[in-house]
Amino acid sequence: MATLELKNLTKKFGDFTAVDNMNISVAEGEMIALLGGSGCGKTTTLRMIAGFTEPFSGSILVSGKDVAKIPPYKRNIGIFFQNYALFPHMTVFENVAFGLKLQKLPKNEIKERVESILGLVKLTGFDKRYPRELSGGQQQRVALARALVTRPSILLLDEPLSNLDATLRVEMQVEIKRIQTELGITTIIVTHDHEEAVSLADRVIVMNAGRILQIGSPQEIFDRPASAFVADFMGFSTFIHGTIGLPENRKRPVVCSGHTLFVPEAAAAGLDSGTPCTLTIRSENICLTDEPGENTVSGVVQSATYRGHATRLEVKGCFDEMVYPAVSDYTEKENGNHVLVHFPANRICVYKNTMEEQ
Amino acid sequence: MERKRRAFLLALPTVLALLVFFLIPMVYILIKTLLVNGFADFTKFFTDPFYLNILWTTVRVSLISTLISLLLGYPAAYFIARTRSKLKNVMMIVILFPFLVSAVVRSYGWMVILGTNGILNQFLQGIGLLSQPLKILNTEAAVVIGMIHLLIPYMILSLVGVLQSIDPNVEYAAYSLGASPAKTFTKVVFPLSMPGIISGCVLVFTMSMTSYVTPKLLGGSKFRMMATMVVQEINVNFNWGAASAISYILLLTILAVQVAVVLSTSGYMKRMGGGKNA
Repeated sequence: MATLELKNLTKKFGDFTAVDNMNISVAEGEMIALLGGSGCGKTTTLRMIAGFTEPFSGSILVSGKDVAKIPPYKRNIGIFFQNYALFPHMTVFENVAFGLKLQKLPKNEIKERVESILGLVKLTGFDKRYPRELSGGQQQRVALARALVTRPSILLLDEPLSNLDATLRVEMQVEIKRIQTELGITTIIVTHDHEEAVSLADRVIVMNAGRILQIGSPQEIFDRPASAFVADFMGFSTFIHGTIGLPENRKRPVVCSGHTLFVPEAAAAGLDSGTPCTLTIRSENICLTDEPGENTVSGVVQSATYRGHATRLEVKGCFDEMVYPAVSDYTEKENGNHVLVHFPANRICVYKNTMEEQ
Repeated sequence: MERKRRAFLLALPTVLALLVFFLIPMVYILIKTLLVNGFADFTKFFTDPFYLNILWTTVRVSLISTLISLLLGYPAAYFIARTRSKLKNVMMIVILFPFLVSAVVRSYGWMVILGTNGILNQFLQGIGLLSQPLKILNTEAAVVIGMIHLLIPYMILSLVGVLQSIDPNVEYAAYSLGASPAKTFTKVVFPLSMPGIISGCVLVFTMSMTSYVTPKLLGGSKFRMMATMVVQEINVNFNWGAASAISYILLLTILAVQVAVVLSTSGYMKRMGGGKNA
């Protein structure tokens, strides 16, 4: 059990700054997700924590102690690699026992601990197999067992679910969460998949270009992204540009392509009247309605994609921008149908336009 | 089945060439030798200390050259395999550079360096380390040096191939589990590079066993290895029977070593990934 703190952590490769002045503090037993696209610096951060690469500046504190001078093999940090990185010349037992043998533990204790951890990852009876004789999911669980068996103070997971098919993903997601909670290990998970991040982590850190864009609970990140960029990354697809007006009745009007949408006053705090801004709303929160009313705009269906649990529509003509409602009930709307689209005020996020988004 | 037959057709020209130009002549020589002298040439070889000594010298020089090539080549190969430098390809070309110069030219080069009045002796005497010139040229040491220079590229190429195929994350995984760099090497990298070590060693050993130019030019007139002895039997002693017996014994020795290596490592290689249930 340990806490982890990153202070002003920076990593440069030549002129390129991979990680730019990162500050994070992770509580004991907490599970944190570093979320971002490729090249955002999340994996570099992981490698610095593990000690595989040195920071350019800043420090890494484990339980309050600076680990800069400690080589990777003395840090007691368990790491799970995206490609598992099992020892191909060793059996499952030898793979898992590797770290314990290095600790020179008595043979029977090694055997006991390996067997109990293999039970935890549901691989009892596979101990004599070689990695190449296992399926992807089984190899992954061996890798997890190997990282956990030495009882590391911190566990690092690099894209733990990315190589699995859909069914196995859900299964392993539950498994990882269960094991992590059971052992109470402080865990950092690196991922580019926002669903993976929000379903596993206690707190999510969204990164881009080596910087932290937002730190928050999964719900906060999912429902109230801090910027249009984070929203885009979190799977928002409808973005509407407009100009915000003065508050009226605890709401503020935003004029978008001639229509007025009302947003909660709290969502637009700090925006002066007349400011150009961007509105965004999750597809699932946009609905179709029969009656005209507030925040309801008419448009024409351009395409409808049936996705089993929802039908995703592309609606043109509401605003200059396309809107994308996801309708959960089966709908018979087809291309060319006129529809009334309602945007619930309390689901809309408002962002001041920044240079890069214009 | 159809695919297999087509693959065989592709291999056919090579198989035929080997059969016509290698296997048939070899059998022809053996039959001819046995018809003329029976096993006399073979018996003479194994009863005469002179010949046995040549065989032992050949094996010894080859073993030493192989071992030193491995020790010198491994770190270089590891570096090339793991470097992310843009100069990686340049390094590979530098490794292959010696191939551009024939063994004859290289041996003469070593003569200039290793001779009694050579560059090395002049340098060592110049800085006062030696009062008398060191005799290196025309000794076994000179042959070993020349041999290593000639053959180390093969060792490095074999090792680079295998080391590059080892996932660097596997090494990081070992570190994270508490293995020091030394332990990571002995428990993970070395065992995983075994296929490259074996192929490199077999290659260098075989080429060293059959080498002619290097022992001839650097070993001096009294230094004999199997290949130089074959030539001596033909050109000096006009003893074709002895020459063919020696070449056969050389062939069988190499074959025996190769078979022994394959047998002793086959179990290991199978575990490493040769299995069919992957």
